[in-house]
Amino acid sequence: MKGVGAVAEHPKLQGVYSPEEAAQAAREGTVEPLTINLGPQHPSTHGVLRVITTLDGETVLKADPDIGYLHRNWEKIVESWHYPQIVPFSDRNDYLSAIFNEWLVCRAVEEAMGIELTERAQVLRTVFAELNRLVSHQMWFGTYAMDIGAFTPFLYALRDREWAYDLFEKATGARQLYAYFRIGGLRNDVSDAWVQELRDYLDYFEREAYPAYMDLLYNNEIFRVRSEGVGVVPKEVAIAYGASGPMLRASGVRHDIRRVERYGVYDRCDFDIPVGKNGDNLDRATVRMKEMIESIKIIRQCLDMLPEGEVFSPKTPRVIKVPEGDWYVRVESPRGEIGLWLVSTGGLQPYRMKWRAPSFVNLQLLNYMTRGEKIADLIASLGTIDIILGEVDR
Amino acid sequence: MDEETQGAAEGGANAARPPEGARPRPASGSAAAPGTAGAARGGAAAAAPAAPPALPPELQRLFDRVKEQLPDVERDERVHGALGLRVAPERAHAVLAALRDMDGVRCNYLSNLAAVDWKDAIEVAYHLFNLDDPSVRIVVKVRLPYQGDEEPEVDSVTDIWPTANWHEREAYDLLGVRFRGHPDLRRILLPETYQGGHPLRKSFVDRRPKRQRLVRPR
Amino acid sequence: MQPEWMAPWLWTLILAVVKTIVVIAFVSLNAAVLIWLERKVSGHMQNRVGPLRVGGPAGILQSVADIIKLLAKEDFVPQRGDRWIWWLAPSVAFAPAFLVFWVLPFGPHLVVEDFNVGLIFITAVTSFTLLSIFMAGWGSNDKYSLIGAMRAGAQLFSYEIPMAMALVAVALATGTLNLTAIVEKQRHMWLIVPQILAFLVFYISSVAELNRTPFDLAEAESELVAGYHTEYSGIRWSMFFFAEYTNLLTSSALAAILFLGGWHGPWLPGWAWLLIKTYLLVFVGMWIRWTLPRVRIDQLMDLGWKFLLPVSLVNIAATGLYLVVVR
Repeated sequence: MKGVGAVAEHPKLQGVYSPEEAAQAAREGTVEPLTINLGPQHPSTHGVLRVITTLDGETVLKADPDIGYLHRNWEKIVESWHYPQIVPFSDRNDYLSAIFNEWLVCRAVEEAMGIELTERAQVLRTVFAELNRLVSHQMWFGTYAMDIGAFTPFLYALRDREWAYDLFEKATGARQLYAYFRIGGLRNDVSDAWVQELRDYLDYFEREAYPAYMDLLYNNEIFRVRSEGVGVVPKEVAIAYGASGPMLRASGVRHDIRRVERYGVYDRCDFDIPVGKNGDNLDRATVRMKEMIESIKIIRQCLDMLPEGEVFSPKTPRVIKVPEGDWYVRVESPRGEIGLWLVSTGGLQPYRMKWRAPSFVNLQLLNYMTRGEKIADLIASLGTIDIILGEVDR
Repeated sequence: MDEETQGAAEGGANAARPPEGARPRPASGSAAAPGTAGAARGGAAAAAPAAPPALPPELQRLFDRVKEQLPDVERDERVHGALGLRVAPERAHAVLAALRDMDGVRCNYLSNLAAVDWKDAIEVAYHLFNLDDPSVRIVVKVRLPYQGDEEPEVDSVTDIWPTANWHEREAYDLLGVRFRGHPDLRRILLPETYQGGHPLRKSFVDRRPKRQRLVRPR
Repeated sequence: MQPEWMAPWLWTLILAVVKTIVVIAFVSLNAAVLIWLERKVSGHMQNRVGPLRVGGPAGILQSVADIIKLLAKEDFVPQRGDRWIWWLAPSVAFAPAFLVFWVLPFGPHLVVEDFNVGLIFITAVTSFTLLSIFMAGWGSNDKYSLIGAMRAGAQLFSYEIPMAMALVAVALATGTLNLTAIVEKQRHMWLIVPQILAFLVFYISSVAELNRTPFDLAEAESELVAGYHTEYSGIRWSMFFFAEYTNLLTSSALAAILFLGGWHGPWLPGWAWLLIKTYLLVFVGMWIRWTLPRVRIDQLMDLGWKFLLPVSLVNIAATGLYLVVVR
């Protein structure tokens, strides 16, 4: 792998109009670049993102994301909070897949304190995480369809998400921000009826909803031509820019934290890691569509192996006090690798917590992906990065 | 504070891929009160220097390989679950570049770059991984002493890993670390016009009025 | 019909006023129904039920309520815009849609003005839509509006040509430019059968001219917020909306007249047949809109210039060859 010089010399950037050239042309009077602010209020920035975009007609010369509109300094706030308080607050970072945030915090503290989870808790955590991944990808599917101009798939995605949210509500009491994982296990157990309903939902999704998604959008010719060869991120660029999750896998890197780290019961589940080839929007879409099916496979296997027993480890100390040291823990969320750097000086509160947000890192690639492409592709590429501004801005 | 005492304050064992719950609990004697931790660490040079805990064999081999080519790196025993290294600020860029290109290490993936304020110094940590070899996990730490409102400096690594760009901007924004050679060192999360300093520093005081005045005073 | 005591100019004037009122009433009523229909159709296609609560069966009074709401809304005027152009644009948008109805025959004698160059009149008048969109985009002094207007300019101009070529083939095949005569010629066989290519080119081009998905680049809401009408609100915005639906109706009616045999059909009266065919095409338009994603500007241009235009030219050549060889 080569450094940034190699990235700048990448063939994709050859022959593309640079902002300097554009300025030169403006001085000569041949072309006048147009700067528009996409956002902070804009229908397809997925939140409060502002992209300062320089255009030459329809062609993007430069896209500079300006973030921070949702900044609340999560990292500062948690420095004065106790660990069990941090878990529900972390939900708000990536609000479409809150389970992964909880899991990350719980996992960091459990690893630091050496708390061993019960078997049932481990399996159920995996189930909830994969269900949440499914839901999150559904939402991505809908919003991406909307970004490229099809509104109907969005409502189909929301219809199917609704049932999943009902399932979440029955188990955890909340639809989006669950506060369900506790340090040492889960808040409460699930019933057999719930497990059966989850199976029904998976059957429904696999047999009815998923083929509908494929027919309605994915196999559509316009979808194909809009996505193919757009927003290309080659393998070495994806790695150099620290892309993770479907962004990285679409570029052809078979890397998944579920395989690299040992957490949950992923090591006992049989599932594929879909990868793309070209790293364009179509590959990212394909990877996410396939991941939905993989998530269903994982959930089914987990439900089959679901043991009886407690969901909260009885050996969990009453006072959560992390010993001195620092830990860097990672979890594979639908958007990529969330990391938590926990620095403890041995107390009830963390000394420092750094949240490595996958959307934050992936968003850096936007300028690279969209340079020299059309403004409509900028929106589409932003859609396939699948950013969550709550997580980008923290 | 030198590296020796820094590492000696830690009693935990390290493991590359610890099975959950299997690791022994660290010695409780090392825990300090949370509020005074940074200061205590600064002044705890007299704490009994114990032999550094052994690394798991996988990481030990990695450490030997690194140490052989880069003799000036030291181990950091605070780090769990990875190989912790500490480097002097002026050598940081060279060491990080070497870690990326070194055979058998090849940390091609900068997962995270973060800084922490220890009151007398800011520590920048680079979390490095090799995407092809999951056993390679290195944390490089650079300690930058500062006083008061100074903004300590370290070389930027954006030329090694472009992903460091926004991480470094964030570290600058929230902790006031200046990265030499960064192409575009601006605030990223806070507004560019923000005047209140760097909020993640322990000395930060929010000087804004507690309640925003919505009506002009008469 | 003219009473003897009346001066000819007065009679012409009275006739013109009455005809205008009738056409406006018809068009507005249809647009209102279409807006309701679109909401219902899209609702049912999207697992929803659409408007239901406002009044009438299935919420049919929704459009009335919308109009009242829009009339009551504040009318924002962009401060630095080109005031006059901005102000005129909605009216200009409405005019061509409404003028086309002047020559559309609803029956052998049921036509406002039996124009003998109706086809040329239609192609000339529909080009005005571009003018209104460009006026709106320019007058708003808004970057999104301007980009939308530029897109609309490129798009409408590119699709005007294949559309006109399709109409040329129709004129060739029927040997007349009068719409009533064109319908009369289809008494035994609808023109869609020999001119299927022309129909497809015409229909695709008309969807593009209407700025509806998959060709809604001029107002692409996920990219340009609302495109050329970003700065419009209240009743001015609703005039654009009305114009869009009137255009939808016009182009569907035109396609029905030119290719689907106009008022010909058994049992029912002629105007009913025409309305049925028109609304069928309108439904197809809605179906397309709520199914497909949007194409990109370069793909749109490619489709217009590299596919539709050659196809329509080939069609003209084939039609001409047929006429020369067979007759």
